[in-house]
Amino acid sequence: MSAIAPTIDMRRTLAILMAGGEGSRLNVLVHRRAKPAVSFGAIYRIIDFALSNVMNSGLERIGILTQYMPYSLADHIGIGESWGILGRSREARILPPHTGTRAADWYRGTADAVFRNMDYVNRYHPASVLILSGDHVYNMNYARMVGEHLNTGADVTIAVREVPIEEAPNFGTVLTDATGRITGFEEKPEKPRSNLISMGIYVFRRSVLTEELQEVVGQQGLTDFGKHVFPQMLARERHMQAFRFTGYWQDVGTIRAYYDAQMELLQPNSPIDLAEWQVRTNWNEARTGDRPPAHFAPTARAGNAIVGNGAVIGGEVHQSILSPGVVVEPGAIVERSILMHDVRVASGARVRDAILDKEVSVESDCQVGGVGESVRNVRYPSHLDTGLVLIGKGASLPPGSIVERNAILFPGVTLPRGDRSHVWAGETIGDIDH
Amino acid sequence: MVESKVILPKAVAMVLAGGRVGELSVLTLVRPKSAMPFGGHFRIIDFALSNLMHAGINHVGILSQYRPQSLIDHVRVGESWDFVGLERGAKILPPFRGAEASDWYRGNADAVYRNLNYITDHGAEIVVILSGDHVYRMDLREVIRFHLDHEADLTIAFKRMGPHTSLRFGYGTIDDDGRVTGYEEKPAVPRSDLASLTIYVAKVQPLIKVLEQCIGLDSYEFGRDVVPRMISGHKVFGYVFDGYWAYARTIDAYYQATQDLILGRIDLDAWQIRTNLMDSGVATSSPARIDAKAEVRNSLISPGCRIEGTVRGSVLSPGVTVERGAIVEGSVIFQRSHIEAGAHVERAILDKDVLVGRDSRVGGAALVGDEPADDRHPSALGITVIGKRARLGPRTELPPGEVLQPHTNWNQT
Repeated sequence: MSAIAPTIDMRRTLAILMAGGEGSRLNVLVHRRAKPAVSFGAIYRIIDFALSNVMNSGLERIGILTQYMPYSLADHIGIGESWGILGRSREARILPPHTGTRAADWYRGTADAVFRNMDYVNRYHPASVLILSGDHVYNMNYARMVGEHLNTGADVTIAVREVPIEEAPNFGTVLTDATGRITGFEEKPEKPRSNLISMGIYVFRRSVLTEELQEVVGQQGLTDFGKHVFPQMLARERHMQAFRFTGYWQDVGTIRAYYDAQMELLQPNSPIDLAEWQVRTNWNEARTGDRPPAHFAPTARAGNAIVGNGAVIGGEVHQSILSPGVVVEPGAIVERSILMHDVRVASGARVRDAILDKEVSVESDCQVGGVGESVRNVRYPSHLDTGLVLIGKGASLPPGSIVERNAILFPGVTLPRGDRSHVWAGETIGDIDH
Repeated sequence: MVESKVILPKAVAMVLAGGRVGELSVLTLVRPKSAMPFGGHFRIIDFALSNLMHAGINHVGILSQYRPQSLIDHVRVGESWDFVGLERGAKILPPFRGAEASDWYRGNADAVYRNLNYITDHGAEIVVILSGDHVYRMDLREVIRFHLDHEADLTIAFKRMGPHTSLRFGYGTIDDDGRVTGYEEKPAVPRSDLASLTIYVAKVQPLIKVLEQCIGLDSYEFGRDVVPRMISGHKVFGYVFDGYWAYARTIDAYYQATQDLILGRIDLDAWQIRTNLMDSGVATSSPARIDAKAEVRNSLISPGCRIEGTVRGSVLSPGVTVERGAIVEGSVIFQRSHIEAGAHVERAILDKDVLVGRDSRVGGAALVGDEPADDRHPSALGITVIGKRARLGPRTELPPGEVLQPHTNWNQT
């Protein structure tokens, strides 16, 4: 099952996966789903990387904390069967926000979310609690980290990695001594003193987690691991240890990072090796697995592409990722793009440098991307400035529509037929409907 | 899907899945024909099971005698076809030893008779009996409704076929009311063009009576023994099916069906055929990868495939690799087989885990015309067949129409 056999008994470790994040910088991709549920690599969702790591590390129980738009996640995770986390003493369980005798609020932060589920954590008497996020693309054997945590006898072990110093202000930064013991922790510092950042992966001794959350969240009403819990633990001279990770790790929380990571998947020697990493997904969801193999028509021309099953290719596809059920009709061209489930690109249409969410319909002779001026998106300048086009789920483009660079179409938008179906560079069409 | 307007009586199904036929050559050394892979990650039996699922038949017994392991792995408890729950289930029914009976099945009708408990325990009034090795989409509720409308004791599904297939099928004659007036199994010269599809709907009690008449025979089959006895004394009607139908009983028929799939005559998506994803290799696959230098046309490519060379007119199951410079044409490649650089595979069927070494040549245009197939050369079309886990060394050649046994190392150049 696992490429590297776990070196320690992971049955005494409980995993808590934080999957509640909205990830708003992913814009239309997270209008109707949580960030961990966003599609990646044709058939996966982002959370599959963390779930597969859990499976491959030999963990047997995982609680998944959801809050924002949990429906697609609940569908996806099912009862954990796709990752083999199923049985009398094996489970993957969704833990939604709930009301109780004391607290009746939404989760206010990462530490608050875990604190509110300590009943679940304590029910199984784990020795260690592994806290993860479902937002990243990486392959990591948590057994090695838990093993080191037990060997050093630390109260908490935090996975860290090096980044260029200019990126450090976006993360929690960590100072360590020569033995890897953490001597300083600063959350998103303006002037970072270290280029070692926290990856949001923590192993706690359970008794310490209980005590710290009781104090910091229960007594003081604070909410966050990075901002509140870790600085206080340092002040109380808890033993905090860093675990260095040197493999590929990518936060795909921006449109640019999300697109670049998938284009990287297409490289011949991609650092993301889905087969080698044994990434698993739920093939039962939405009939994905029942779809027939990808069909290439006599007119098809495809090069450097990742193609999901059920795709039907009659036209040209270059350097693109096609999810199950995508149709590219004869005479259509798709280049450097990501097309999610059941997108249809009709004859004569051309899609370049674009991300099309599920069920987008591009009718004949449309031009999507690759045209227009290089101006940032006007409404969301920080979300879209690299020239990509972003089209939300179910949007519909009538024949001959033109969508220029850095334009955004909201989910469900139908462009008008006729000469108004021209979306200018940097334009955003549609309003938040919820 | 058409909504059912009548409440159907309680029905169970028996799938005849057991047989091995010599005509499928090395492909059925390891599995019954109903377990043959088809269309990438499906197996042939998926058509029968999906048709039963769509018809709302919730109890399915699968009669299997020959090497049932791959069927057991595939069907499991029937969860892939929603046969799990109170009042529903799918079960492999292998031969068993009982207080009185302790034999292997003596024919497909014997197999049903020996498992009558499965039918009567569920209180079924009618039983649907069908073969597990056919490729088709049929609304079985329509057949059941036909059966009820005619108050038939037995309904046989027929399809109009030319006489050239007569040695393979039973042929029936029907009158203007649809009543079957005659039936011959594998006649040299058929009296009609109506070939039986081995799909039966029967009232349980009359069927039991006729099966009991047969138990003295050395072996008894539906076509040869049961149908003629039903005709003389019971009401037997013929339902004529005009949709696509193919079977996987010979190498050539199987090969033709895969070509029909490429041409779109078989529409797995529209037909809503389901399969067991855990068994097929799909659930552990990453999506198909088409290299920058690859050429893929007129083909079906499954998850887990990696294509660096050329693939034309072929169906590839999950996990197949075609290296740079290799050419796969008009072929069917099962799970995880590997075609090394520069190799050329043409008009061939490769079972699972076959390795074709660098610059090797497998198959090609048929050298023979319409020569009848024999044991050593089972394909009249000159299709080359390679058994499971066979390995062809570099620069070897396997001529058209040849058969390579499973686990063989082939080094002829």
